[in-house]
Amino acid sequence: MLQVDKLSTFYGNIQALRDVSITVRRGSITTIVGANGAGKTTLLRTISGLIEARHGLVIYEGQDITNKRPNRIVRKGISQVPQGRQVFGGMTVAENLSLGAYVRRYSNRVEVEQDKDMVFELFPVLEEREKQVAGTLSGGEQQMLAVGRALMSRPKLLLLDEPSMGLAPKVIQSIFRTFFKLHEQGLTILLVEQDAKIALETADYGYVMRTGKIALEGMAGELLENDEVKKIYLG
Amino acid sequence: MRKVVFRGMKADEKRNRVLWCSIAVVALVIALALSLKGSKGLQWVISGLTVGSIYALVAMGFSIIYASTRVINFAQGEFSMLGGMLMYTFSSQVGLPAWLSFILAVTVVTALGAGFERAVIHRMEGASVVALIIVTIGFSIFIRAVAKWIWGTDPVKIAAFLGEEPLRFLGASIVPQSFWVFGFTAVAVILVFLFFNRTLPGKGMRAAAGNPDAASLVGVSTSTSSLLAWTMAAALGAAAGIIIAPINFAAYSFGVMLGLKGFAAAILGGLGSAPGAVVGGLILGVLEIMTAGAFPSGYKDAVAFLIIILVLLVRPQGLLGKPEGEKV
Repeated sequence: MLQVDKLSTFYGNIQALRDVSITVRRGSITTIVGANGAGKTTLLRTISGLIEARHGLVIYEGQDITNKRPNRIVRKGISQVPQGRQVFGGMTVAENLSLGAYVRRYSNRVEVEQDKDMVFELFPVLEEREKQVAGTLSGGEQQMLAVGRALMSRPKLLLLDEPSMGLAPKVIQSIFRTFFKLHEQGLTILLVEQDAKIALETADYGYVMRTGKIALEGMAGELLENDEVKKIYLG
Repeated sequence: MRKVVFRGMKADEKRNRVLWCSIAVVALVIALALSLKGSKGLQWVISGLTVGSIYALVAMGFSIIYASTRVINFAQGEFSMLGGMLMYTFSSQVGLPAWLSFILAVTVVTALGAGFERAVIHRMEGASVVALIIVTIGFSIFIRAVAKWIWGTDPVKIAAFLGEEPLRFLGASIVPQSFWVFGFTAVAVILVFLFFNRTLPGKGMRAAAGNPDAASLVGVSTSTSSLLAWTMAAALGAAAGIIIAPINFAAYSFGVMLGLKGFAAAILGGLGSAPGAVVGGLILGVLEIMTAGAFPSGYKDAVAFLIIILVLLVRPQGLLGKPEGEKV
């Protein structure tokens, strides 16, 4: 579904990605784990068009989407939940969700409302907080809102950037259960995560990134058993 | 959880309280003026509200561009100046009817604002906000120079839209043009407020200002957002310059002061807030006219700058602004 081929990205003169190639299969949960600064977030931001790639290709459903504008890429069905949630803090939960459906602003309103209900079903707490300003939500609630907002564009591929960051273990468990539920409904997920354990337990296939390169790849279950991964990332 | 809800409600209540306080301040300023010298006080209020409405429109231009792009457009006053001068050219020199001249003048200025955004601001993507602000200062100097070259330095008179005969009201006189000013300002404020708070494209523009990355990820084009903001600000600025021209004349140099006053009004009301622009504009207008009435009139321009300094010291976000300044 998504193929990244020898992607290289720079911040000024500093190379953040070195010939990164990954494949995300339709219907899979694919994960990229690695330490802070390994280039995981840069990879996601390059895929969704927020950063320009210098070399390499991003192919989505057979189409070259390298360096397209982010608003074009969302329209094609790739939706990203950014690191640190980045909800629109001054707006209500309901407004955040409507903005999530921004690319569908000329389509059927009833459908958008139905999708909002679907998000409320996944995260009932958001319905309780519908009229509340997003900036006043707790970290876990903001993460749920960020995921809900990303789902409102009806993506085929969901990019998740560090969804566990700064959250309590219980909340992380519950949010990851939701990812699994979405996966069962047919959504393809690319998950970037520092917490290698929970990421590899959730995913089918995994990549390990180190200093801007792919260091290892394999079935998630195998990576969990890999001695090197165990030693460095799982403690 | 309970605490979170409480915090949310408190913020709302606080905003409402500030809104009511601001309205009270406006009322107080007006009452003060009225109590001073009978019919003279009423005259001050009417004149103050008229010029204050214009400040409000200019302030709204500042707020729209600021709220969508975080840039302060120091060429905002020049849009008003150009509106007035073009109105003069179309209606007095060419002899077109007032309504057609109005439409043409607004269109030309709007195209100029949009063109500047595409040709300069858009190409400077990634530049710091300070660099963009300096570019707007350069643009304002350029516009002024060209206007001076085209129209010369003498102020020009523009005919009022509907007669010049002042109406008598409780001993005060109101020029009919004032009603155009009040009406246009009211309609413009309401439309701008509804656009930014009730429509999805408007909310998208606010989102693009507060968090450009997240807004891009939901599909808002930050580039279109900036273009729209400049277009709207130029149109509002031009219209403001045109409707005040029959009362205050028009000249190539009038944009500077009008821009600074509008900026002061925006700071006072809260940069980025449409209701704030109105509150700020009206307060500034009335205070200025009162100062002109009570002291030698040269002091009236100082009021605006005194207000900027005081507000920045005491309440930097302005009367109705939120510290993040995301609201329009």
